[in-house]
Amino acid sequence: MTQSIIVQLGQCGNQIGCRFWDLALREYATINKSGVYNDSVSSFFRNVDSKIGNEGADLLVGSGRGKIRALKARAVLLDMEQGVVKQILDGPLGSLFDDSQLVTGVSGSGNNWAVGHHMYGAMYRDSIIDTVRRSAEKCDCLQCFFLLHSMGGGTGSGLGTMVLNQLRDEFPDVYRFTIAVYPSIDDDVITSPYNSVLAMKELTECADCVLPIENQSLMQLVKSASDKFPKKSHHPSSAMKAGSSLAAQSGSVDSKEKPFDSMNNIVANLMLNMTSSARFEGSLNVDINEISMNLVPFPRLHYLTSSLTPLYTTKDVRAPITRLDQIFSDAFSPEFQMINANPRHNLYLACALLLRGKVEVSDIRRNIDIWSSKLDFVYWNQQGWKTGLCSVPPVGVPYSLLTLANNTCIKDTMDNLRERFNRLYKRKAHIHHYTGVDGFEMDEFDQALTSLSSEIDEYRELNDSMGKRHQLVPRLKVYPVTSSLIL
Amino acid sequence: MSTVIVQVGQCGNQILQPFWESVSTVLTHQSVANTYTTLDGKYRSVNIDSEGKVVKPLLRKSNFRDENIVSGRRGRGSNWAMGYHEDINCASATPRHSDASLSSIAIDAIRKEAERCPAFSGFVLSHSLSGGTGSGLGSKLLQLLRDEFPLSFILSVSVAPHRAGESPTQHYNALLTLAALQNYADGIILVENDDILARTSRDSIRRSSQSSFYSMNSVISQNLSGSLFPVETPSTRNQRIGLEPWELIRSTCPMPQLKFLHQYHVSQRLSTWPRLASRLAKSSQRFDRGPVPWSTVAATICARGGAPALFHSALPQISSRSRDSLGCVGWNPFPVDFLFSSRSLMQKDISSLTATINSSRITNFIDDIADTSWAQFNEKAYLHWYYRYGCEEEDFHSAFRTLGNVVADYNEAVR
Repeated sequence: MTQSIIVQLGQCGNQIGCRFWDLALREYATINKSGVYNDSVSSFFRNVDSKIGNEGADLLVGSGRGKIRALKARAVLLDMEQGVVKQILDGPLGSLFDDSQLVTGVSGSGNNWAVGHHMYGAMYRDSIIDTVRRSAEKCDCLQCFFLLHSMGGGTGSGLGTMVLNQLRDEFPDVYRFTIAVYPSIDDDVITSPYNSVLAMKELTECADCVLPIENQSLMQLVKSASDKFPKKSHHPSSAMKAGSSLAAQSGSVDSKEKPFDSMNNIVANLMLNMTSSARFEGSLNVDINEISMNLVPFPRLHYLTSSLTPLYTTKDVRAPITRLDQIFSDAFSPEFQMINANPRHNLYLACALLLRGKVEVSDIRRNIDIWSSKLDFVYWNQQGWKTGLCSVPPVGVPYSLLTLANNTCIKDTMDNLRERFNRLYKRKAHIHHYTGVDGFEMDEFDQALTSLSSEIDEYRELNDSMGKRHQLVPRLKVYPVTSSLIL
Repeated sequence: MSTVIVQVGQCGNQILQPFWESVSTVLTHQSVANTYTTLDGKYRSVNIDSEGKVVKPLLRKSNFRDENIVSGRRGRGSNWAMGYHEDINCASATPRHSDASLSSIAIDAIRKEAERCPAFSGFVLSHSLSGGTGSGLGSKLLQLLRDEFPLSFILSVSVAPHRAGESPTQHYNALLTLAALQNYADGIILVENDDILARTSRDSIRRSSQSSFYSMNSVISQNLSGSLFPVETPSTRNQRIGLEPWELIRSTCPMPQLKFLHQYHVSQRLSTWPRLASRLAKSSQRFDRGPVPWSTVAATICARGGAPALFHSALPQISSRSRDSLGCVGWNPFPVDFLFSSRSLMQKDISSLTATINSSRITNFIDDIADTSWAQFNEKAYLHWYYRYGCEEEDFHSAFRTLGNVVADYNEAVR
């Protein structure tokens, strides 16, 4: 089995990462009751025996029957200010991280992509790559980097894209998945459109796969989940039933719920479900590299819209277990998407259905048949479904579905971003903050804008082909065949 | 004693699980024991996968030989090129574990198993057409086996995915694998997931609307055991050396270019042979979308369970009835072969018929795959993944040509 390294950048990335490690531990605690260190645990954690040598040494999986001594996360924590990382290290998850896995600065990036990318990029590039390399060497067979960061800030988007560049150069064969949180329309950072568009160019060129997430959609999802339960008190977080996958409370390490926790839990669950089929057994395994292989028909069009259903658990007494067919219809409805878009009105290039739990093949087939007729797929990929079935369900639910789709609805999100960018750029507002940074060239803005525009055009072109069949030269005209039989 | 069964990839390994279970339960009958197991009770099976989740659990089972379980570390990403070329190293800073030699380790294990066979004559290769390992690594192994064992037969059991999508890259993978099969295999049993699913929902005793993968695999395994378990023909009865796969190829593939086979199975308690034969005739589909009836080049029907005398007296009747219902071609003087074994596959009083038919039904299947791949190929969709891992444009072109020729040959043969 292969290992993955999580690279968490900036405040947003580190907070999501913190939730991820918490939920990952909870998932393994539920499934791996005997506490053995097997291949599956090793995909995200190292097993350290502190009694060996000075600093403790890593125990390998070996026969897969050794006990877990102390787990360390395969993670790299990067931030240009110390607050968030210090909070993580002081919290209950602190023992998961070594000091050697962190790179922190002091004064923050001031929500400025140029500061994050060029200034801190130059200053910290060597220490960052050393940290990553150290983590990579401890892996038997490294397959994938997951980068978590926001697009609107300075560290996450600026330093994050610099790290992405570096990873592409140093580890060309390791997949790079970016989970990027895009700023909502009412984002309070004025320069977030600049930061996002500048970062988009790097994501298009260097990442293998990007999962855009919008804060607003996450808020919507949390709200609709909590609306289903009568509120016990006025405190919003206690409306979430304890043990539900949105709340981190009972059964998990970190029991104090912070404001963004529910939203971050959704993203953390997305990551767990995406990798579940690679970590646990099932009838239709989908490895992490298969996701990008099947969903990315053209190298630049690698932005995937995602939706995760259901969002409750059976501990929510008043919510009945969602029927499987309902789970499928929720997955394709705009209310459950993690970005503000409606994939049903647009064209699907490919769609992955990653199921977990007790689902039978006939159920899958039936739903695929139903939804094939309701959704528009591009003409050359009419049956562009990728199905995965993992037999281990998520904590607290009998089955779940994660849908990752390469859908042209992403062009609307990108267009929106471009609008907001242009509104500022037309007036050259706040440009001096960026051009004043050493290493930043003025035409970076134009290049980023061009890259984004061509991306939007490519998606739009595909979308316009919806319903049309292109005129193909029939295959048999190109390959005239004659029989080789003599009867 | 003469066949080694090689299973590649997740699908290839999973579909034969019920087959090995029935080899075990029928272990009391000596002939099956020696045919598919060695004298120390281990199966003559080599299990290969590019990652451990499916094959590693077999290591603890007593009937599988540990040294025949070959697993790599990272999957082949449902990409034929990745499976075939294996040009990937584990990209850690110190690449001490690379998968580059997975095919050579596999060939070593297969060779040793072949050397354990007292009368080795060939392989059964089970894999899927649409994944990465089964299709890509399977094609590579097919070529290597053909080079190393030029005189032995290779019978493949190839699983085709659901038409309505199991993976967007399934069309390219199937295209390239079918071309390799046509070039290197001697007989290709095609198992279509759609058919098997329809079959399980039809057969489901509980009439529940759910079919599981296990029930689908049971149907596939039943087809295989029905045709590959020992029979009592004059040539094989006393020797019991397990040449059934070879017999199957010999009788169903009279022409070297026509080697695609479909399987059908019917069984019933306390039935007569004529009734069973007519049930078989109904269950084997005969029309394509034309509706143009398919024509059969050759077929082998294995009858199991019952008294020999009863079977032989019914033989002339069911033989001529089958010939008529299958629409056999005129130029083949012996189109339908019957094999018989008095031992039943399941309980004592259940008789069964398993038909393996070489017919022009394959042309639809190949045309569909070629057309969908052609549409994607024209748009250059997904191609960068294949070129990145070692494929070239010419691989695709030659695959299109090969498959076009297969269809032309079948059309010519049944004209």
